[in-house]
Amino acid sequence: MYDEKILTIYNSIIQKHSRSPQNQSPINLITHQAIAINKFCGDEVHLNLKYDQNNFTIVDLQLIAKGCSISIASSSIVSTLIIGLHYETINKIRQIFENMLAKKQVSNYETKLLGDLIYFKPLSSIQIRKKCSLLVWKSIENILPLNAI
Amino acid sequence: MNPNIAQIRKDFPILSTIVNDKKLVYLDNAATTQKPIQVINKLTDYYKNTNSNVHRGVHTLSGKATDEFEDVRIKVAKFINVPNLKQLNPIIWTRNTTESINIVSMTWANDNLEENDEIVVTAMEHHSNLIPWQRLCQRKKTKLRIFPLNEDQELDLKYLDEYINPNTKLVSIVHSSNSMGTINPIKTLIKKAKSINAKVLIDGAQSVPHMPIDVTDLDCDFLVFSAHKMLGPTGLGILYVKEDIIQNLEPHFLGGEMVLDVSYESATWNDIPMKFEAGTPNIADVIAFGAAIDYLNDIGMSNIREHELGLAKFALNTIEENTYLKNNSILYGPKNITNRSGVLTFHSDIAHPHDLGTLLDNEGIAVRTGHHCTMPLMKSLGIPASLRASFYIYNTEEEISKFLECFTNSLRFFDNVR
Repeated sequence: MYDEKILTIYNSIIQKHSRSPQNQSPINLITHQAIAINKFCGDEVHLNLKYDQNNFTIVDLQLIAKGCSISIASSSIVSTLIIGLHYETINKIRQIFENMLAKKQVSNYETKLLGDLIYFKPLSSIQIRKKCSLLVWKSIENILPLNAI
Repeated sequence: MNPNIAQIRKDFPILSTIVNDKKLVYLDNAATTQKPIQVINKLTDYYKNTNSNVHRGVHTLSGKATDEFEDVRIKVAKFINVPNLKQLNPIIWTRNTTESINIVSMTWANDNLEENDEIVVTAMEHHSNLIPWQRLCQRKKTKLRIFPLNEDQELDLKYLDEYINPNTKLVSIVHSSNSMGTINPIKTLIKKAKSINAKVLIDGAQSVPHMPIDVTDLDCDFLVFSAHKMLGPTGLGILYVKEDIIQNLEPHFLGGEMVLDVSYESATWNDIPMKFEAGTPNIADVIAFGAAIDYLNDIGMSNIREHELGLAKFALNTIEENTYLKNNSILYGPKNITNRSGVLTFHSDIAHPHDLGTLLDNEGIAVRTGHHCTMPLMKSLGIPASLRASFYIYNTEEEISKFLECFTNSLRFFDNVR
């Protein structure tokens, strides 16, 4: 019944993450809280972070996400990717992700950085749902630039 | 007489559009309706042949534009059966229903309500008929009362005396709910409000386009609605104010058009209704809206209500026979079909409405997913969002069947990958 575009965006990896988001457990020390809400649909991403300001690295995090399967799955996958990473690498992953959604060229090296986010590639043909996958990045951007100084 | 739907559909160019390689099934009419060629032509014809500013010109085109513009005001007044129309036309053009309500809150309500007076809205209001009253209550220390609903998302009338009481000064209620499809018993509420001398505002955004509305019979004080939800252009709202109130109503927006005489120190106001319309009005859209009113009148508002009720009955019967859909989704709204509009709102624990909406969109079916600007109601139902299909005069049983079949398939799709 459904074409390839639909079947591939609702693939098993995305379904798995949307049904069982990763990193939901509370963390010991919260240094920063990031919240993003999509005003149009009510989807929410809350990130409780332990951020090492000396090394500009996310040490630990807790994800609390409410919304559609695209926004929950992307939040979950991003949460698994960014722990232990320097903020510059996190921003780079975001840039590669947005390039992928914009149907721009993504190299093999960049693809590796994306990890399971590569499964969102079919979203590049579903304009209206791109913002769902970007909500988690919106929450992160509320925090990282402040600490990059 | 039954309207000829096949013939009507031919008047709507967009209904032939292909979306995602499928024929469009447009079921998002509560958000906005499609436009017949008569309205589109009227709009382009105005810009091609008549375009001119109204009211202040002596040249031919200005006179023609003014005549056409004011003719539509009369047409709209007749459409809702305004009394004493020869003496006074109390139709005020606004941008939309939301602006109409805001104007009432900032003028009549601001000037007439006092501390401890009560404003009653229902638990199913659109944000536009809630937030203006919240702000007014903060400013004036009036009380906002939320009329509760029963389990079928209808007003629970056992609370009538409690919520509409001697302290009530304004009852501001939605006639037909945009998110639940409930048609409220506004005659009962108006009668009760009048018995204690309260004023009544009816949010007719979802009722005026779909059924006959007679303000003389209803005896409401304010009626608000939008042109784009009844085949007309976007950016045009209507505010009807009852004669005894409009005579004493102060204008909210000040400037050109709304004045009679101006000095450096002061100004006097133009006649009603022009004193409420500062600046150049939305001339083209008003004139095109006239074609929409003509179109609706030609079909007949009773016929439109009957057609939509028929579609709702057909949908409910189809759902009744679909065990999977029945067991895996909730359909909100009244069980009594006569209290329903052509709005069907669903929720399912199997998948988020946006994901279901994407699958339906893939089949060319346009429905609305989200909170439908009724966040408090969604919260009270314990759901983040819902999926809404809403009908209009051009929809068919075939389209409803396709929607329900694809909706069922979408649920099965997500059910299978769980």
